[in-house]
Amino acid sequence: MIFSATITTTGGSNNVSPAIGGNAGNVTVNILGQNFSTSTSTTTTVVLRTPGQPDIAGISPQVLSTSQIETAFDLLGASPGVRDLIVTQTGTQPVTFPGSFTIQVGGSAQIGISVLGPSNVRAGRQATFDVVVSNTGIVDAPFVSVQASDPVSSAFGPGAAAQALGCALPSQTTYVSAMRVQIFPLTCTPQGSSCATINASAQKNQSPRDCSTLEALVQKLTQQLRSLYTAFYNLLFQLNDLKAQFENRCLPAPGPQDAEFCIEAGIQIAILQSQLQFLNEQITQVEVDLLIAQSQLDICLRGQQQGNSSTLTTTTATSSSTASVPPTSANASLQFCGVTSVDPNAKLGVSGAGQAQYVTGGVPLAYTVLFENLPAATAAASQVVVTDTLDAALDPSTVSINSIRFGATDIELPPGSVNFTVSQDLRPNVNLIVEIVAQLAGSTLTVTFTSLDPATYEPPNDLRGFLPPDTSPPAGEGSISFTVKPKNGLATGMQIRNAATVVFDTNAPINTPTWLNTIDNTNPTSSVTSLGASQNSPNFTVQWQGADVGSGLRDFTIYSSRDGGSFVPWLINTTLSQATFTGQVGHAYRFYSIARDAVGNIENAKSTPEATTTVQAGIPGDLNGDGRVDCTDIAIVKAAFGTSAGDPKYDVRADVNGDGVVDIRDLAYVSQHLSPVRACP
Amino acid sequence: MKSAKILLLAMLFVAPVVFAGTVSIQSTGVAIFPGDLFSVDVGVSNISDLYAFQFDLTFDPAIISATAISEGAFLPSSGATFFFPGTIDNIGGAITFNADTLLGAVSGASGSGVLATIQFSALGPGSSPIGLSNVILLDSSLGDISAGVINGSVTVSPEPSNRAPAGLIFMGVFAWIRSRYGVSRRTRPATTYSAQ
Repeated sequence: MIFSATITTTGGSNNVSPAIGGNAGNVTVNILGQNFSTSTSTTTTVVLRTPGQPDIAGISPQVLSTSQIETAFDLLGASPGVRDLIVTQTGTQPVTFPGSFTIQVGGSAQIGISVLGPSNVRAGRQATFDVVVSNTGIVDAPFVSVQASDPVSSAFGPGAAAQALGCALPSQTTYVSAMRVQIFPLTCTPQGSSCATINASAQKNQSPRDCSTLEALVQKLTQQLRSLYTAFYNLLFQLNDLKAQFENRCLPAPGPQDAEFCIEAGIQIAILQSQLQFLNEQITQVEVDLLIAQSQLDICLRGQQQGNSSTLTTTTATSSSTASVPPTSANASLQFCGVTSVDPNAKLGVSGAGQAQYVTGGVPLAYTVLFENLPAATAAASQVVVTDTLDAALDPSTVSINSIRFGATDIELPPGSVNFTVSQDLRPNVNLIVEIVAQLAGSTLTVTFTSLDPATYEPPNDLRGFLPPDTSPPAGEGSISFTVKPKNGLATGMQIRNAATVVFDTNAPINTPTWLNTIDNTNPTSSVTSLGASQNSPNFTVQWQGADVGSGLRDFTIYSSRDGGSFVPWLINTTLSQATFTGQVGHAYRFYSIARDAVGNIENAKSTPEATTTVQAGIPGDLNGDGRVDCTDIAIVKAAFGTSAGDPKYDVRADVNGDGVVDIRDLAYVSQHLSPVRACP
Repeated sequence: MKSAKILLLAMLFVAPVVFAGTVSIQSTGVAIFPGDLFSVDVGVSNISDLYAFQFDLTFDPAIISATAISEGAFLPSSGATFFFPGTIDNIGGAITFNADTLLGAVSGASGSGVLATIQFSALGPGSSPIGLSNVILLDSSLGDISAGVINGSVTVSPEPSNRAPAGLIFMGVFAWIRSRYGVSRRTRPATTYSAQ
């Protein structure tokens, strides 16, 4: 493969990314500059420095290119504040990035995950799904594991691959089964870089659905219904004839010669009416059965054409780096449906949260433009031009083309690749060289695929082309995947629409569908409801609530502190709005909550508690803490009597002796302290 | 000396467990036929300072069906009580968490008596064991009282052959014969409760 790329770099104040890090763990930082030495004999050191504080040395700095160095700082417990970042390489003068990095108190990793993929997959064809993992926190997310699964169809083949975007490649990609792929571990750097894309091939179940049984059932029921109707009308005609004779000969009064006939006719009419009633019930039943069978057959026949709906579900989780940093997790899913025909030219983006597909502004948006030379085409495509005009809300300076695919060729590109030329030699299979030119002009990204004759390095004069008709997928398919960040400071609710056009040779441009995302840049808010100054029981209820503009609340992390000590997470990423806190008699407790919304925005850090209380030595048997032991306390035990911890009706207040069961020991304890003694209902 | 050791070990192994009281199923001694209502007492004997108790009771739901639970007279003899009738499960054949406790700081009941009475309905012929489990006896210090448990059983006799299903008319005739000639159920084969 012939490959050349030009990496764009940013200058000025954005040379250190991220520019902030939390002092709760490691933070990986990328330093962008010029003329870094990539020689293996060069020793590189990176430090964070400020007067009065010890230097913090970067861990094993990696010179990725002449313009980029990556290192990690152990900021655990480091004093917060602004730092200079100094890069030193042997034989050169140290380079200082003044005030380029700020250490903040605490912080955590906040990982998110999204799935990019087509909503429609051609029945029997493979499709590619990109799983994008990001970290919007201010601390590295170590040991991130990613799982992708499709519970319905066999989704993954052993070729499931992983691609890195700005951080370490996963060290292990495990093909678990046709239903599941597992990637572990990843280290996701903070501040929004999409750190890994996992490409998995999803394939619809190729075995056609068998509808013959339902077809036979419909046929049988139809025949049965026809026979029943025939019998019904035969009897009905007999009845009508008999009734007519009866009315003539027997009404108003039968003659002497008709007496016997009238008796027999009366009995026969009754029998016929009974038989008709029975047939009518049978007809009704068969009609219902036929309706159901016909409906099932319709669904089955539609399924033969469209395949089954399936859902690709992904989850990711990270373990905690320190005791004070809660682990975090996220999940996303994408439903897709197998169909017989799909628009081969599509624009895919981040699925986001909710119908508006909310995304947070700090994370690059990933897009994939798909194109295909249809199987019915009469010639291979020689030139394909993909043009994507970026939405005004997107920052063109952050565009990074991550991969280009066509046929069996998969070109993975380093971060920041945007203006480059790549050549791919297709020989000996096809006597062609494909030249791919990517250009960003203003906010228009253009990628041009051109077939070249190896002999002349000019477009061939014959019908040769790099993208044949797609009769043997994916030979005739191609795609371009890139990321781009939304501009800073976008308002929540801002919609980002993006579409591309694809031109095959001299054909008319084909417009892809528009992909929509909505920005959620607003942090959620929350608070713990104030508590009474004192609690009579060590077990007391703590409640909290929150609000969010945009994507909506996802969960809360509740912090607690005992006797004025430091706050530690009590409940991590909980979706509850209240829980029972178990304290100890004689101790004071403080609480505050930190909310997280559906796109991963975290509520601003807090330093003051929102609820404070002290557990006092309570009155024995006073379960509800009202200062007396009465029938209301008996009622608490009665309501939970016979339950165990975990049962819906279990009440920890009623479990006086804390043995996990509410029984006679708890009831007798409260009863013994009842005052005044009186019968309770 | 060796024989003395053997004798001591033998005494240890055969020494009976001594309980501070006994909880048992107590019969009323009447014969039972399908459709009859009858009751079973859960009694206690030789108990001292009983402040509260709890028990579960099991039975064969194909033979009998529980209909009600009521408090016995033993515990209320020492003061006000809070009685908690258990939960009847006539599918699984159990009554769980029957409980009773005295109220306030009083001494417990001592002696023997009925803790609770269970009402049953006889469903069909056969023998149903009646078992006690999860038995907890507490004294006025809320300490456990050790107690032995004696389970019981109940046998429901089949209807006499002349009551075999033969149609409502014949049943009516037999009912008339019973009332006319004084044939009572007591003349049928006897059935009794028995301790196991």
